[in-house]
Amino acid sequence: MLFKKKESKKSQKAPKKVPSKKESFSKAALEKELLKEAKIIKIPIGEAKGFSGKVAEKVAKWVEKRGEVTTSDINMKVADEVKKYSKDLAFIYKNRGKII
Amino acid sequence: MKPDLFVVLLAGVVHAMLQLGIGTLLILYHASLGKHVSLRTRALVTNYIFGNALLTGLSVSAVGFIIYIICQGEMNPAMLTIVVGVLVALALSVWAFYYRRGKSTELWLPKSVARYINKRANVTESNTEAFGLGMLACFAEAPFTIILIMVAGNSIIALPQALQILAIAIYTILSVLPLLVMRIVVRKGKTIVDVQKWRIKNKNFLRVLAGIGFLVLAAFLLAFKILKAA
Repeated sequence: MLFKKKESKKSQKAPKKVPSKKESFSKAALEKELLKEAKIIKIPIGEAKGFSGKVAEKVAKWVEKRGEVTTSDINMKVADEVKKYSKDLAFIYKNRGKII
Repeated sequence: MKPDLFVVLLAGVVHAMLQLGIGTLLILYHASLGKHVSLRTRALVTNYIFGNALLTGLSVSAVGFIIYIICQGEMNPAMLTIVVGVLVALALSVWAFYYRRGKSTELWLPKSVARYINKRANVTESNTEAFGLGMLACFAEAPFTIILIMVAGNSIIALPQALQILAIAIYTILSVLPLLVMRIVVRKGKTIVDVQKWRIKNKNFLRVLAGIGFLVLAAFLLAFKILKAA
């Protein structure tokens, strides 16, 4: 053969990896978010401050044990923990991203 | 004149039964109530509803005008037959896949579009953005609403000139009526959780009703426009 067949550039390149967006979990951010959500559904601020810290603490311990979790996992865990204090707040976390 | 007016009313009612506008408004309420004072939230919601209404009204007017230019009047029976077929297909589509599976109000929209609307609703800060979001929600529902707009536009051009603007206004108001009702309901003291629970509880009823609405509209066009012309 006089001419060498050129290898296509596609076969030479490694498959593209789509990087997943990683964020670190923040207990303080979750507590702040719980207070904000409680305000939206008109839970008294004192009551909300009473349970938001406890819920954020429990979720933080759970995340530490699990290592890597998705946002949906965190939402379900928060819903699970918060339903003892407010069913409406648990409903919000359970239905995150499921309105439309 | 009466059948045309009825078609406009019915098309408006069926448009009102579709859920994307309400869902997006709910997300806007949720995002805004946590960040702004109630006066600011009210302004954002007003602009959202106005954006939605404006695009609906302009679409009906534009489509009616296009039909008038292309068909030199109303649509002929052959075109109306196609419209009737599409209405029946949409009725079946609404029953089959308007809502995704599961105990939520997730809609047929591609996930990327739903995520984009969600993201936009959550970062809406100004009145202009809220207005744009209203137009976006109206536009995103186009696969289901464009045929209703065509039917309404076709009937509007059959009306006397004096009634045409009134008919456009009636259709527009009917299509945004659920948004206005939701605004009143939230103003009266209900939370967004109450509204969302109501939507989940009644989603099957609304879905069946919307499908029936499409079918009734199709039957009406068939009886009063197609068979009558034949």
